[in-house]
Amino acid sequence: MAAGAVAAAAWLQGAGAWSAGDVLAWAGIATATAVSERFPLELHYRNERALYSLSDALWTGSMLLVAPSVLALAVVAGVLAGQVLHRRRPVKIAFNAGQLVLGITAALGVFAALGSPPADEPAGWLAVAVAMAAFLAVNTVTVGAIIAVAERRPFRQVALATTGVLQWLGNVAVGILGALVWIAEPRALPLLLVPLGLSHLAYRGWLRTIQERDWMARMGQAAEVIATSGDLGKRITGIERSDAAGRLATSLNDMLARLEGSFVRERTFIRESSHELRTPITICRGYLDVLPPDPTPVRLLETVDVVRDELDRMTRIVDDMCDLAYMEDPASLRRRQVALDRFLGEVAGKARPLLNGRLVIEPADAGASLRADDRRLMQALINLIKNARDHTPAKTPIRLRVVGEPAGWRFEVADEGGGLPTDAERHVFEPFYKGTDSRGSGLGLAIVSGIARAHGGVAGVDNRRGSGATFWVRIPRCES
Amino acid sequence: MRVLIVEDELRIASFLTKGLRAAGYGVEHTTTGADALDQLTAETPFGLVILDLGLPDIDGLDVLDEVRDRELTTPVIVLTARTGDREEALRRGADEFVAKPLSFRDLLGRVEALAGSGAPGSDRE
Repeated sequence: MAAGAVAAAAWLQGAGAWSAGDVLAWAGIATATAVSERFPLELHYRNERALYSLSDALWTGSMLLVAPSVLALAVVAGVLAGQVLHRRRPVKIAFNAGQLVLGITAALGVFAALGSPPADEPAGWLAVAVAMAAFLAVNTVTVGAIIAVAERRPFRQVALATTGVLQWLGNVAVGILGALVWIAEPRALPLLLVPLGLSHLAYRGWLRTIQERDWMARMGQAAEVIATSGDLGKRITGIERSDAAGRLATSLNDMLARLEGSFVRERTFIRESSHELRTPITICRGYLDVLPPDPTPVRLLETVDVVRDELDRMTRIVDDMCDLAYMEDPASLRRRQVALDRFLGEVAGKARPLLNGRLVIEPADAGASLRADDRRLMQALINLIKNARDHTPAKTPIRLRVVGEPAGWRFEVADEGGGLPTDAERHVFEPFYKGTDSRGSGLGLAIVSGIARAHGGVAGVDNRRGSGATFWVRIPRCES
Repeated sequence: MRVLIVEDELRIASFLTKGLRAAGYGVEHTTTGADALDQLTAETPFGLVILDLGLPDIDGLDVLDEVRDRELTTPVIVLTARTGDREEALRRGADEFVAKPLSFRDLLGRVEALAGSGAPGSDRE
């Protein structure tokens, strides 16, 4: 900063001899510099953001056309104004201005040492290119050194990262062309903006293509790792963006999460179901193992009864497992128009023998109907009725009714069994969740929930602790 | 020797009782962990406990912890369908781990081995 200030003060002495044209040139270059510094072009690559400005090109051209002090002081004024307008911190503004003044001073020194050749001669082009190389070198060294000290990174790594050789080349070429156009016909200068704008767009597109290719490669690698390791817990990382690639990565990650969830559920289901089958197998095997070689007819009969009963239990579990496996697939449904009053009559016909006079049915509205798989819906309601029967005192009523709602129908099975224990209401619809007094498969309510979901609906329970529970299935209207 | 069966599945307890009695053991049965702990600290000692893990009141592993915390040296055979709990049960003081479904002959072999290992009250009734 201090060196920059000294250089700027030295250049100020030259300003005394300026002509009116010099002052005009100073003002023009300073204004153009300020605009260029205020509105740099942003280019993104990976997670980095690079700022490009046309200042270097402006200064290259100016070096060929104006007096050294005019350019140096225009740089000072323009950079200060541009950075103030950009609302940068004062320390940063002072550092940037100082660094750029030093750089342009070095460049002007080199240009003078090479004889300050005119703009319309190739020697001038070469000299200004070498001078701007010196400018680049000063910039790289000062910025690199500061970052290396501040971030404690090796200077070489930092300096190389900030070296924009391509940008230097582009700026020098644009500057020389600008100077030539200025000499030939200043009014043609804005025409340069057209190829510049187009090349900027092309450059940005090129970077984006590279980046997308890079992301695709990363997603490909992640997919390969998942495919070979079978680890569905892996995710595609480092692409937190809102564009197409980011959305693709997010969708893939969501898909992986869903797949992982369904595999976990499947594994749990297999573990739970094998656990569930172990008990009846243990009983069958145990009763047969302890049967003496010469059993009494009573003992033999008891063993046969138990084994047969446990085989029935295994059959129920296996049937329920099959039901549950196919249940949630909407394609497995055979929907048809079902008249509600007739349907409830059929449910009652099936449920009455199970309930020994405990079933109370509220008649449905005459003429009401819904589109559903009546066989599956019947299975769901019978499961709810059996569940109520198995967990409530004998002789307490079990009520079945259907309630019309704006979006569909709600079938309710209400009991007076004192309600569910704490926490149970959150788990009752999970496969193999069982009350302590249950001898069922533990799948009945999971099947109810599956039937509801296959219809696009939901199953739930309203627990009235100390009084009873109302299990319900909500089936949305389906017009198709 | 008296064996305490802690098992809430009545039919499993029933065949275990039949088989062990036929082999000459005295058998008591309970369906809850709390009752098992009461019986184990009663005056008449048991020579062996057959313990299910999935009990209605207390998890079998916690029953096991409590037995060992009370410094009861009664051998415990864990009998469960929770096959994944083998290491945990043995670490927490089970003498044997038998997974359901089981072969009663195999279980009886282990009962006899533990009964003959000098456990308290190892005289057969």
